[in-house]
Amino acid sequence: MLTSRTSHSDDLLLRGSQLLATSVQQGVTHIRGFVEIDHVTGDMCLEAGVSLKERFENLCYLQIVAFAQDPIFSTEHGDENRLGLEHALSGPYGGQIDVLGTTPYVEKSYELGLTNVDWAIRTAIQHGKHLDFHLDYNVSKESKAMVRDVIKLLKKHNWVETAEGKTVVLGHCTRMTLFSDEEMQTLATEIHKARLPISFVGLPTSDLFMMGRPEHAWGGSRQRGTLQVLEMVKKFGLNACIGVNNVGNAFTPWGSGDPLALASLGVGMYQAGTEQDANLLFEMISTRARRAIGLAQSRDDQDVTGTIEKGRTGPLLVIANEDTINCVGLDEPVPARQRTSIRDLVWDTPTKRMVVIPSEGLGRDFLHH
Amino acid sequence: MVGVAESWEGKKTMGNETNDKRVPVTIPNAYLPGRPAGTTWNVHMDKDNKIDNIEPYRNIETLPGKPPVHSSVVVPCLCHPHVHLDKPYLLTCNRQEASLPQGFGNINVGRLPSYSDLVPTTGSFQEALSNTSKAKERYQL
Repeated sequence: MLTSRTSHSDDLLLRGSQLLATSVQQGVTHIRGFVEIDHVTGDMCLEAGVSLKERFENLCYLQIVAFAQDPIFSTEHGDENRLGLEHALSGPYGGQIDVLGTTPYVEKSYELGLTNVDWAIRTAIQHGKHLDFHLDYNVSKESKAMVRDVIKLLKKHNWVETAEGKTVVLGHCTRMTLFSDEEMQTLATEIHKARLPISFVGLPTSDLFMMGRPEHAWGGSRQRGTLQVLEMVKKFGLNACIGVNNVGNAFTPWGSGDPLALASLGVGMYQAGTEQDANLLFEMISTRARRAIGLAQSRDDQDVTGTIEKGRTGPLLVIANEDTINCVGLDEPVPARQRTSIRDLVWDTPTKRMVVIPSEGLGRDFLHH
Repeated sequence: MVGVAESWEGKKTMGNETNDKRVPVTIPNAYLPGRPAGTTWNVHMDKDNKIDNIEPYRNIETLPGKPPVHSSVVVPCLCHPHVHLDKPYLLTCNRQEASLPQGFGNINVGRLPSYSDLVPTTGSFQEALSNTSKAKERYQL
């Protein structure tokens, strides 16, 4: 185990801890975290993930994704990468893995991408794991979208019956922004008819940065793309949410990793200015996100509104108002605006946040208010 | 499918009797989503994170001459549905010429890998894929 290692440098553990500690400060208590497994990393990232899960277990619930960022059916390392995942799933840390994740778009052809999907579905069912794909990460009409074939394969393998309540998440899916209304409706109907527990995750800070970029295009001709998550919920009745994906790397050099900042960005990005939109954006970083990763009370649980009612169990996020804005150099402090609703949090994100978990003694301060 | 998270959310056993950090909490003067505008509430949580009562706010602890309790907005906690645990902060990595601030325990900063040569030069998707692959070869536990 990690404690017996004498030469560790804390690289993965330090960066991972920095991410988790920052997330907890930002009010996050449930996390689906991806760790890569391939011929380069071996089980190193997985071990770090398991260690981080233990280290933060009082503060957050961490779900671990055994994740293939690299091809598992093409390139000279494909077989080795795939075997590495299989070994991890049946190895000593197998029980700590909650989710199997792959990246079909990195395979060398569409067909091999489908082979990747087919293998992942069968393997997730076999090991009793949730499933999470990085899918259709482009905004090019020339690239065929894979999403409908993924649905076909889930139906073929009878996911609903054999995967017993495990969910499927499709991340990125920027190619779907080129779908017509009819194509979207067809897709939504397929998912609904098959009763598949599929959720879509938009990763806008990465998507906007990475996608589009046609050469020589500027101004209005410069295309960008990220899933229209609000419309997917409102118009097509699908479950969708948003996530930060990466913090501080070449895929996403910008951003603080704060989900609330992401929701706030969504107001402008999705051009969604009503109070209902703000509420829905908040669901996408809280209740709908939890539902996507399989933490809803049941498949038919429609309670994604996050109302705080008697009988609810789980930590709460408290955003305390302050009396004044204190500014060095001013004789008299300025009275502070008071936030009173979710829209106030989404439109103008507060920096001070407090997670209350009575079983951990977190929130004790309120007793002495 | 909900077993693990549910038990995490409503933890019941925390150490022995003398080491029990559990404590019931009352969040006073709370604005709650979905309730009439302008109303605030006292939210009582038991030791196992369950809301056992919500009642209209009364300033339970205010004594004459003491200011009222600050109000707050109370909402469900946040969730990262998708975050990469192993590749954050490669661009703002920890190995710096100056040492880390105090409080990092026994971390040997000099032994941390450097990723600073992998800063994007074009910012393209291909570069991100290839630079992050290169970074991966330097990962250490």
